[in-house]
Amino acid sequence: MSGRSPTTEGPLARALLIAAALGFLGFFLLLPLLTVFSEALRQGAGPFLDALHTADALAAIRLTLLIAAISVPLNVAFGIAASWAITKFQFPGKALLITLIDLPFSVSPVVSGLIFVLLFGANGLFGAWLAEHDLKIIFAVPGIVLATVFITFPFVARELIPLMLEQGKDDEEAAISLGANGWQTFWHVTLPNTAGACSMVCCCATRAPWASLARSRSSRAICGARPTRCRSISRFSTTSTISSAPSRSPLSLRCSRW
Amino acid sequence: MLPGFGLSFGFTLAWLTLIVLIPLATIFLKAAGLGWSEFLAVGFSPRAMAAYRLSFGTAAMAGLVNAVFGLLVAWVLVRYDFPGKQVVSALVDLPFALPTAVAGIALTALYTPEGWIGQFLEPLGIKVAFTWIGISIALVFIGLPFVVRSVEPVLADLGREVEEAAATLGATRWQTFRHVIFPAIGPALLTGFALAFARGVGEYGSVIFISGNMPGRTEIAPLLIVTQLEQYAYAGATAIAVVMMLASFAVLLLINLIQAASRRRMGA
Repeated sequence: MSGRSPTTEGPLARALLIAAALGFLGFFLLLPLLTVFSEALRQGAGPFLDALHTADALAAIRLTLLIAAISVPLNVAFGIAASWAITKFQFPGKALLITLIDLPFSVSPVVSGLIFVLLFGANGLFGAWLAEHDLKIIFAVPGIVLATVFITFPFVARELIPLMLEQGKDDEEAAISLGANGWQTFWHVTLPNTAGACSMVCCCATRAPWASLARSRSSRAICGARPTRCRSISRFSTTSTISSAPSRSPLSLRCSRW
Repeated sequence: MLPGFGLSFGFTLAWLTLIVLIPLATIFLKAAGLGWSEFLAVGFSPRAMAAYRLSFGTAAMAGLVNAVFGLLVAWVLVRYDFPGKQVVSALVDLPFALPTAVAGIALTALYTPEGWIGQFLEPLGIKVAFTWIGISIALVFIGLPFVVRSVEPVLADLGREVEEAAATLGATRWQTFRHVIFPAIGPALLTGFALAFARGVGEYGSVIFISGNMPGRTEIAPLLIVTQLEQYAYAGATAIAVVMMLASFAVLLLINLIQAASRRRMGA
């Protein structure tokens, strides 16, 4: 035991741990990514650039951005409320509540599209009522937003809960005892405490719609068979990649053409 | 006592009911239209049972692998500095951003006998693509960010004081990790496992390419649902969906109860 700090590992252990982590990531994440690149290069950059400039692709990008802009704030608001209720208070059935929040993750994207068709489709539960009032949900933006919110529902809450649990409620109680009201405590104590995670979570949650739209089966079911719209939707998997990392796209383009 | 319970709990419950519970109830409603005997025939056919076993088994396996290596990756990202750390951190999110079908095709290309990795495994007699191992690998790929991103903030937020205290009391580094750090990040790790597992159970896009889809052997449950949908057998599809949903609800509830129990023990 030489003069190293007692709260960190020796250089050898450190190097081994880093090597193991990088090895795992290299094997499971980097290699698949390299495969995508090598496939992409085989096709050249031309088709990708052409695809980017079609009106369909641009419309799809706009639509995806709009959906993210609507669904992320909704999920963030829910996530903060849920994690506040779950981590700061004791009540019976807490595990049940958390499990219900988790559930959308386990529902196959294949099924989540079907759900909204069963609800709002022409023969669905609310189908007749919607037709009567000339409201469109599926085959339109509200349906895609609903599906996205459903699929990404657990994201923010589930990432905030462990953090807020670990932080406990001492800080909040101190603030209250000093005369702060609930909102002041929330704005000046809880939010700054969780700000780092919050921004990361927002980042993840913003990405989530891309990923979930990449799991586009649900949106495809929602958007239905109307030719133009459907084509733009079926390219969601493409546009999600276009917007996040252009060079990854050609392969996904090919996929969406299948 | 902190304020805001009524507001936050009420909002949570209302939003949950609107977005999750009512939509999920339609699945049950549709499946109920089948009648009991037909529901059992579709939802518990030998082919469906094999698919459930495969889906839940591989998802659990992938969740375990991700729990171990996700913790390792989160630890290395939070505690150590090394060149290219930002790149590695961004790489972790890749499965969130990459369309799952692309991931599935890339993994299949890697692990077929002619692929970059498959060609080395073939002489050893190990088959990955088109077996349950391939499915597990696809689910490891899909689930990793959940574990890393659940554990990372908690690990970063963990004060060094407790570790210093443990060290001054004569604990070795391993003892400190085992008795001080691990209990603190345990709930986050379990959350990550639960999310990776849940996502793995329902995963479709990345798995169908690498699984080979042989009925009874490498056919996952979501694929069975799609098969039903393609025959316009909506009620049959919802029957399988209901069985899957109840099973994953039971597993997730068990995980969350274990978590709540361990928290109570810790808090006492």
